[in-house]
This record gives sequence, structure tokens and C-alpha cells, in this order.
Amino acid sequence: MTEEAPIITMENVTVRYAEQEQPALDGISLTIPAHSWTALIGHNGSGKSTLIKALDGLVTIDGGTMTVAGLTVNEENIWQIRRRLGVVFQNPENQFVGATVADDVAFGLENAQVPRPAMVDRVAAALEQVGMTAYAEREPAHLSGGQKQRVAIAGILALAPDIIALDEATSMLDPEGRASVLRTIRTLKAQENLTILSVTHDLEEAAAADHVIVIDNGHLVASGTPPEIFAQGAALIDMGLSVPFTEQLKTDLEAGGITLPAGYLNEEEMAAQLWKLYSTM
Amino acid sequence: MEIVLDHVSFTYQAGTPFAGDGLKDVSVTIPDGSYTAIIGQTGSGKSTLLQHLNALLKPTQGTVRIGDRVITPQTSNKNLKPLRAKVGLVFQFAENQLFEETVEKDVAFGPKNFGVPAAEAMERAHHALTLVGIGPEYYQHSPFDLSGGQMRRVAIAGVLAMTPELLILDEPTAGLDPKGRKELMTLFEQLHQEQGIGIVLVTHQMEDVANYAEHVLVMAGGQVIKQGSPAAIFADPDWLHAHHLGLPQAARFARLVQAQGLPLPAPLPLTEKALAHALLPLLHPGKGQSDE
Ligand SMILES: Nc1ncnc2c1ncn2[C@@H]1O[C@H](COP(=O)(O)OP(=O)(O)O)[C@@H](O)[C@H]1O
Ligand SMILES: Nc1ncnc2c1ncn2[C@@H]1O[C@H](COP(=O)(O)OP(=O)(O)O)[C@@H](O)[C@H]1O
Ligand SMILES: [Mg+2]
Ligand SMILES: [Mg+2]
Repeated sequence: MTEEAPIITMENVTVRYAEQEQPALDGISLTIPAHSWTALIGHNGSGKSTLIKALDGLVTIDGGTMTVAGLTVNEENIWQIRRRLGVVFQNPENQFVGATVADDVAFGLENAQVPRPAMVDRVAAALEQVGMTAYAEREPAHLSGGQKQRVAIAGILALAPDIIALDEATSMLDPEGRASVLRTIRTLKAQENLTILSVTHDLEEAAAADHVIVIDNGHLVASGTPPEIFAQGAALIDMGLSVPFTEQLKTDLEAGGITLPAGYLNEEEMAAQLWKLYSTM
Repeated sequence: MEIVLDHVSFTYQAGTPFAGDGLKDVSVTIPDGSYTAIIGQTGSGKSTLLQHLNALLKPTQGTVRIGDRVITPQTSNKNLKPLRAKVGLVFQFAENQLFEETVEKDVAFGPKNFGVPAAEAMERAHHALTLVGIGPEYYQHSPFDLSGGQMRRVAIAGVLAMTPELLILDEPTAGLDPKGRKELMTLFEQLHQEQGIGIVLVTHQMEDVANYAEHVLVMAGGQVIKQGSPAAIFADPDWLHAHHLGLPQAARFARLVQAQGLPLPAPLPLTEKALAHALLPLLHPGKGQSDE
């Protein structure tokens, strides 16, 4: 894909929580190209949620600068930024304000002063997109974790931001539910030219991204395309992460005396290589 | 301890407009000391079934026999405590239920609540914390200062401190990073192998089913629609697909290379190691063919 101008930049950003010895973010510098899908990976506690909250102005930074959609992240710009950047947070329990699912999805639109008739349409469309239309009049408290995550995603979709940040937003869905929500977001990304920043432990999702950023104990340790990142298998495992299935298989086949090309192979490429080895022998 | 569900049905909010089927005529046996996995789509009834295994829910119809206790729709809630100590249930996102001011107090709460003297309850708490890999340096911490993975392990220790014979786990690794997942799955395997604790695991991770389970129950629409060994369950990918379930990654990839023409011998390898093992002879020069 062509190089796009960055839509998010971080320059030497540090966040230190009160009473914590280690900073949660320790001099992070990165750029995220507009219209890309960027996966942010790292072990539990590495600082992923803190990074998202910093961009959204929910934690104050102790050093560095950040821009979102060309605006410097500061108190003055934060409301404008929140209109451009929609965040689906990790724990949906703490995000519900409405008495019904529909009210909840409408809440952000009310804040953004969207007129009533347009609001009703957008709420309906967003619930449809996440497959929760049948639950519009239910109380959010009575939903399962996965259903709450879908509603939280609908609340952001309804706001039609330019950038969507997903903080493990599909972690409570079953595999089929996760695939369907990701498909929806992919379609919307293409239709609306969105930028996606997705915090995930799902390596298949990361392998399908344009960019992968790895953080470890508040440090950015790697940033690149999936093949660039997943070629560093051992380093990822040392960081408490895992490698895609094909990398594990490659390691075991190589240990068994088989020679495979250097670098990361996705499933199709790996299957093609195996066939080549088999058929030319 | 064997658990037998005999024609069990359960209705949520019976008699209200929101009444809904949780279980429909389920008859199934969880053998003593087994490692059983339960798979199925969200809403298929997995959590409802789990809560029948320690009488947290009582059947609307049918009976549940847990060891020698028989639970019927009429069973009173009295005297169920000993049962709940023998059958430990770890809820989904169990860390949300931590509440004490220190890690050790939280874990000791269960046994104390069950009448174990304070000193012994604390001893049991420390033992359980050791099992889950939480060291003494954390005993006096607030559970809320720990990482998500550590909090989950403290919550599991709280159940282990009751010394259950059967450990029931509702999606215990959801939301954890790969290392955290691996550590927990290894812990359950050790508890099963070394202490003989029976395990019932609800999971969406088919790799875990393939790697650890002896027996698999497949649920859909409040019913157990199939059961068998992992090999038997994964032998019919089309059936699984029709029920919105998938194969372990290794099996899925094995099908891909088979479709390309590589003659992988049956049965379908279910784990990455088994796949590598099956592939190696096909990829080595000679491949055992005499006309080379
Ligand atoms: N509100 C907070 N107060 C104090 N420490 C926090 C807070 N939130 C997170 N931390 C700490 O900051 C570090 C990074 O946390 P987080 O950004 O949530 O990581 P991740 O999302 O990668 O799991 C962890 O050590 C965590 O314990
Ligand atoms: N507290 C409840 N009140 C009403 N219905 C419920 C409740 N809990 C679960 N259900 C319903 O029972 C069915 C089975 O749910 P559950 O056992 O939680 O499924 P699973 O664990 O497989 O996702 C679903 O249709 C669900 O909506
Ligand atoms: Mg997080
Ligand atoms: Mg459940």
C-alpha cells in the first residue's frame, strides 16, 4: 500500500502512574499512517491500554507530545479529538450509561448534538452492523460480556469517527462472533476510509494488519509489517507473546531437518512451500 | 466424583415474559476424575450447565447426581455448602469477584467461610497460592494492584483453597496474553495429572481441547448435541462448521495441505506437534519410495 501521512504521532511519550515505580509508558515514539490497520501487541501490563488512554486524553502524560488527526493532544483540543477518535475500551462493564441498549448507543450522539431523527437512524444502523438489533430495548446490565462488547462497538460506529481504537474489544466474543465483528469493521474501514488501531492478543488478526507495533514494559520494541515482526519469533516468545502457527510449524520442521525459506510465511505461502518440497523430491 | 445429569431442563426467569431456555433435556455423565471440555457457541448453554454441576442452579426438570447427592427441582438450598467445596467453580472473569484487602485474605476467605479455623485456612491459602505461582512477596498486596493475569490466578487459588475434587473452569484464559494462557493451561494439566483433580473446561480454544481434554461435550441451543474424544469430535469438520465451531489450527492447516495434494495419512493431526510429525516423512528426500 502507498505511504499515507501519519494520522497519529507520539514523540517520546511518558506516563507514570502515582505510586508505581516503573513508568507505564517510557519514551514512546511512533507514527500511525492514515487509513491503515495497525495492531498493537504486548503482554498483559505492557502499557497498551495506557497508550490508548493517553491518545484519548484520559491519562495525563508526564512528558512528550502527541498528535491525533493533526491536532496536538491537549486539554484545549481534546473534545475535537474525541470526535475524530472513537475508542472501544477493554472492559465494557464500566462503559454503560443508558437505561436501554439503544439509549446507550445514542448517548455519544446526544453529546455530539446530533439531531433526533438522524440519531434514531444512526443508532438503528449501528446496532444492525453489530448484530444487536433484537436487543435494542434490553437493559445493558443483563447482556453477556460479548453482547456488551458489541454494544460498545455500536456506540462508537454510530459516532462515525475517522479513527477507531479497539482495546481488546472482541476478547469476550466467541471465534465466530469475533470474526464477524472484525469483518464488519473491515468493511466499514474500506467504505469510510477509516484508520484502525487495534490492541489484540489474536495473532491471526495481527497477521492480517498493515502494521504491527510491539510494546514491552512501556517501551516500543518493534514496529513493522507482519512479516517483519513475525520473523522475530524467539524475541516475541521471550516477551510473553506467541508466534503465529506457521512459525511454530516452521521451527519444528527445521528441527526435523527440512529447509524452508527464511522469513515469515503465512498459511497459504507455507502450504505452497510444503507442496513444492513434496512434489520436487 | 461422578456427576450425572438425567433429563435436565432449566428455564431462566420462568413465568415472566423474559423466560428463556437455558438447558433442554440434557442427559450426560461427567466421569470421575476426567478432563472434560465443553464447546459451543455463545448462548448455547455452557455456563448454565456448569452451574448445575455444583448446584448453584437447580434443574427446573430432571435430576443432577453429584457424587452421592441427588439434586432435584425440590432440593432446598440448605446443606449444599459441602458440595460446593468438593466442586469448585471458577467463573468467567473470576477476578471481578476479588474483594478482600490482601491477596492472602482473599484466598483464605473461602475455607474460613466453610468453617475451617483461621490458621488452617491461611495455610491452605498459602498452599493454593503456591500452586498457581503467586509467591509470598504478593501475600500482603491488595489484589487490585496485580496484573490481570495475576488477579485471575488469585481468584483460581481462592477456589483451590477449598481443596475441590473437581475444578470447573468457565473460559479461564479469556483476555490473557499467550504466556498467561499457557501457564494456566499447564497448571490445570498438573492439577489433573499430579493431584488427580477432575477438570471441566469451557473454552473457545480448540487447541486447548486438542491438547488437554479426554472427553468433549458439544452444546447448541441448550442441548448436548454430540460427545466423544477430541479425535472423534474433530473428525467431522463439516459438521463442526455447520454448528459454528472450528478445528484446531493444526487440523485446519492439515486440510489445506491435503487439498493441495499432500497425502497426509489419516487421522487428521490435531496439534502442531502431531502435524509436524506427520509432515516430516513426506518432506524428506526418498520419502520411503523405492523408485527414487
Ligand atoms: N490506574 C492505574 N493506576 C496505577 N497503575 C496502573 C493503572 N493502570 C495501569 N497501571 C499499571 O500500568 C502498567 C500498564 O498497564 P496497562 O496499560 O493497563 O497495560 P496493558 O493494557 O498492556 O495490559 C501496568 O503495570 C499496570 O499495573
Ligand atoms: N440470567 C439469565 N437470565 C435470562 N436468560 C439467561 C440468563 N443467563 C443466560 N441466559 C440465557 O440462557 C441461554 C444459555 O446461556 P449460557 O448458559 O450463558 O450460554 P453460554 O455459556 O454457552 O454462552 C442463552 O440464551 C442466554 O441468553
Ligand atoms: Mg489493557
Ligand atoms: Mg458462558
